[in-house]
Amino acid sequence: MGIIIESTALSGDPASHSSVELAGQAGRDCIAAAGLSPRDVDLLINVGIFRDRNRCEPGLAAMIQRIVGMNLDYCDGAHAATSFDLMNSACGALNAVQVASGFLLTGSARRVLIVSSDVHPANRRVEGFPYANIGAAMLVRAEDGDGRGFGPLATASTGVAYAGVRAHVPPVDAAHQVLNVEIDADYAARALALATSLARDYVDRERVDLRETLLVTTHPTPTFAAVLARGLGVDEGAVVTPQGLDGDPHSSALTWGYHVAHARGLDACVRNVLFVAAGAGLSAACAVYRR
Amino acid sequence: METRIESLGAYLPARIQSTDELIASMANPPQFNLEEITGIRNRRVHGPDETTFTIAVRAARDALSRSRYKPEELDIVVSTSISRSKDDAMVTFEPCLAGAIAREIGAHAAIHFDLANACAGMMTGVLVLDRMIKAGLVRRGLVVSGEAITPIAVTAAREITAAWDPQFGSLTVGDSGVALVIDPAAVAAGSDRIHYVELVTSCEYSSLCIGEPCERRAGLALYTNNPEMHKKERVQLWPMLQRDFLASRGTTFEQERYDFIIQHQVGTRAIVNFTRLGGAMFGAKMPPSLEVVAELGNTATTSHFLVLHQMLAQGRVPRGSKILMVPAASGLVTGCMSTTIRDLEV
Repeated sequence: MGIIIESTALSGDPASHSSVELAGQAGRDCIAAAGLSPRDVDLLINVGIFRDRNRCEPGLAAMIQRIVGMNLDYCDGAHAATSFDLMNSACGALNAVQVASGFLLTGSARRVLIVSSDVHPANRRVEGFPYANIGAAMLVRAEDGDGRGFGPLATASTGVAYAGVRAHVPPVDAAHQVLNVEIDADYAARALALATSLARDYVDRERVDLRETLLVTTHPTPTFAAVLARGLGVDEGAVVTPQGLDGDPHSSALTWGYHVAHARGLDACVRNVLFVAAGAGLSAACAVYRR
Repeated sequence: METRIESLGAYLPARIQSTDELIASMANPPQFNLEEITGIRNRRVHGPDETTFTIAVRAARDALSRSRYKPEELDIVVSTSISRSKDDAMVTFEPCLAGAIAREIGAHAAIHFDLANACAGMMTGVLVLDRMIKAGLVRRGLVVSGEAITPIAVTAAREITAAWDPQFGSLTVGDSGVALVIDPAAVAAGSDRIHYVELVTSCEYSSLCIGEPCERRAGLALYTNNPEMHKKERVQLWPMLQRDFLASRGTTFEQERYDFIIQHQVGTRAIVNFTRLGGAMFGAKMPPSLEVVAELGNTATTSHFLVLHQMLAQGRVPRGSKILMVPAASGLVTGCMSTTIRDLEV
């Protein structure tokens, strides 16, 4: 059994600065793009981090699930769908693919919708907030077959207490609109080193032929993808760079990259997509997707 | 293959706060008897140096002290609390708490992430590990929650004005930490195992209970539309979906022969009401309820597993007991988890 991507979608309504709306819109479009209805999806995982009003309860996923329209009320004859938030900086989407695999391979879900969005808690454009105002969604399912789908997930983290990024809400008045994001000066370099070493080992172990591979990464800096590609020996035409965004797409980066690669025609000749993520922690994750 | 709770650890902050003490701190003390309505006499409150993170680490270390696994043998660490305090941060989003907990306990090889699903967070963590272990993606892992949730009670004490204020429920919470090691169950019949864990989110009601930083002053607040939340139609969600789920397995509530039931610990009267309604809908006699709400309050994500821990510590769970756990969380999340406890000790 392989775990395959059935569809992806992006949302970027410049008038909306709500993570629930952006992720919900992308989720709805993603299901429609696959020609399906919300009843065909049994689990929604939200991997977005920065959210409306710094909300801690309920899981934002439940509010996104409502916009998507999955199981509004079980008592009204809806189906037994559920949802939750999964948070691990920009690596969460790959963690979610692995978690989704657990549900799909055990027959606990027919399809899993992975959604994301990062907004400032004040729900407006705030100067200095580094993240792009987009939502993204990826629909995955299991398929019998000949090796198509996601390969194993590899992760790495720094053994010492080095976070690189600290994003937190201080105990101040009106903290529902306050978010402090502190990024260390050497974060980009250290994230790049960790991601490069993880991806290099992964490519060797999984025998990924980089000549037939598209590289899709997170974007802690605008040059991260291109420099990582050079370090791995991936052709510069086979990497998705973050053009056309108003900031770091963060938790949406991998879905965004996969989606725009198709629009840019980058995926026409490749057999594999190599997803590489790096984020706060430090934390890195890597998985190949065989098409 | 089935999974089990291989080890269970807990941590309770030392400070005990009585309901009388909490009421004395209120700007506008209620005209009714809070202790009588909720059945809550006491709750634990974290110390000035304690946070979600420190409580989680203490619970994790307690669980690992009785586990056959060393920290470095854990494949995954999932942190599932609602509260997210660490160091000076009231709420921390990055890096995730699970990574910091994994590093602190020495689980250096573990995949890690935080999982949030309101009060059903810890049971959702068990659900996720159950599926990942069954699918062969991980061999064993830790689900941990350090719940430093009582800041919402401080806000409620300051801000409540009306008898049925939306912050009323915030007065019921208590702090605690719980950690579970989940691994594959032994094949032998009667040994420890999770028979099933199922969760359903009826998201039409996702706005009925909202927790976020205060609008006016520093602090966290929880606002609950209690009349809507506890409407009969909402409370029926659990028995309806468990009845359907059991029917899909070809069994009934009665045939499951549970020895005990653990409801979400919201208050003694609410627990009686949930269980009574369940009994009526299942048409079955309900098993005895295990509770800690009177002394520990509503501990949010840790609720069911803290009850299990306390009951095991008091020797009130005979070997081989089959226990039904019923979540009830904002979202609206409900479901059922059935587990046999034989060798698990605390």
